[in-house]
Amino acid sequence: MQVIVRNSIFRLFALSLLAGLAGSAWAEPVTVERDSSLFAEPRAGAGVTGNLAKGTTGEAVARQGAWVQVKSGTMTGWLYSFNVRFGAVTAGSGDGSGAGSALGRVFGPRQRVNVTATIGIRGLEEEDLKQARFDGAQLRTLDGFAATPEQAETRAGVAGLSATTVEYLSQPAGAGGSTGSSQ
Amino acid sequence: MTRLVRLFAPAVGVALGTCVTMSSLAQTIDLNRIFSIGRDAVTAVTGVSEEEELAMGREIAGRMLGAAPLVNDEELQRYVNRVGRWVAMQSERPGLPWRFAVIDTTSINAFATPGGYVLLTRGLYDILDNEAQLAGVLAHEIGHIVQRHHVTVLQKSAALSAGAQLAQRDNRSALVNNMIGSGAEVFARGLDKSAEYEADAIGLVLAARAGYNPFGLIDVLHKLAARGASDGSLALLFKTHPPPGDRLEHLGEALTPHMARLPAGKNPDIRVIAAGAGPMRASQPLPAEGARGLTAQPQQKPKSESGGVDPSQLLRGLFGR
Repeated sequence: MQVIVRNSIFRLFALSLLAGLAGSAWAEPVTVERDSSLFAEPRAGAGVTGNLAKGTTGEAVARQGAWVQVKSGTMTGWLYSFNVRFGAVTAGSGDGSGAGSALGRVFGPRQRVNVTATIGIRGLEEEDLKQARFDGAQLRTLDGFAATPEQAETRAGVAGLSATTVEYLSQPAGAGGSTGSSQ
Repeated sequence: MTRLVRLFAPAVGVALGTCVTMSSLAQTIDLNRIFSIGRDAVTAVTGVSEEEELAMGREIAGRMLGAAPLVNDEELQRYVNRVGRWVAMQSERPGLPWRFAVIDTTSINAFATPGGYVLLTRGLYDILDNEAQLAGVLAHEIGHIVQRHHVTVLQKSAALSAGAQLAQRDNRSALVNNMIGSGAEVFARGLDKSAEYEADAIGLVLAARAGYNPFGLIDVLHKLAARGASDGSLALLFKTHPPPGDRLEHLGEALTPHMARLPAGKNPDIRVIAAGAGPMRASQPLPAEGARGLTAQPQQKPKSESGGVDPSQLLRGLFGR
């Protein structure tokens, strides 16, 4: 019983800590996944303040779009978030048991925490998929929630969204031959 | 510009029907043979007509809902449909009968079925911080549908059992069931890694086109990477997808040369699931009927004595004969 209480207190403490991180003092351990330049500002044309080699650890102290500001030793600068991994480096990292992993889960300021959502519902197992039986009533219910293009557009407008032209990305070299030829 | 168009030609080419590529979608198909029988361009690439694709997708979606029902929050479901439809409208297949849903399971995952069904688990929805992240996840699934990735998997699995298909040619229900397999096991098998990387790259762009912060999907991948493979709620996702770290690496490689031209986009607030909402009780499970979707659209049916889709035509669709 004592252990349970202590655990609860520890969790409360941990939650308080995490809540604190969601503020301006947010910081999170990071590991650099690829040799990267550090930029003075979060834009590709900014001056380079240093270089971090793959495997370097540090702390993420701010985020902006695809950029994360990392402090490592005496160096501070911005690099692309996809060039780092969040959470403390531990043996078998990502096992969900250490404080580092808990921090990794937060990954930036959260706007909400839904504590009621997952009580009493079990996960979807592979066997559930194999045994799944068609449920026509659910499907028809879902049909009733479908949005028309007009409804979607109206809602996007309310959210302040407007469509813009963006070309597809090129695939990385060697990721597959899409040579394209006319018929 | 030329390079951009060329490298992602499959997405555009399939939709416009103007070109045929040597992408993985077409690897098992004899294109000359298909063109020789005058099938449309979509069928030429996948071997499966859009009508057949919609029927398979509806069947699989119905089975997924049999495994995990809708979350009982109508406003949430309508909200997700509006967000998803808006993103899908930026794709090359805006006219599909798109359906989006949050299903009641703690597992962290999302599923796309052929023809426009996207099912997002409550477990995944709960870790999202904003609508840009939701849009990124939905756009990844939309990418699978636009590229017909699951159709290819189903078509390949059907091709492997061609003998059984031929034996069942007079029983279209058995035929379609044979193609889909039991339940929704297609989601337990997963797709090629390259299909996942491609859906990531497409998803990021579709979210950007819809006006969202393009990096919502990257945020979600970081969340998955930080949780790791041993997180029980992620077991199925890790089994059927490349590790999120690898996905970040591929996306980063594809993205880096184009960062300067990506718009900043917006991060609207995400709707929170209604407090206390459990599973929606709308169901009275029915036995699986593989061809029910095919018979549901009589206005599009090919000529057939028995109504619905002629099994021999479906076989031609599958095998390009």
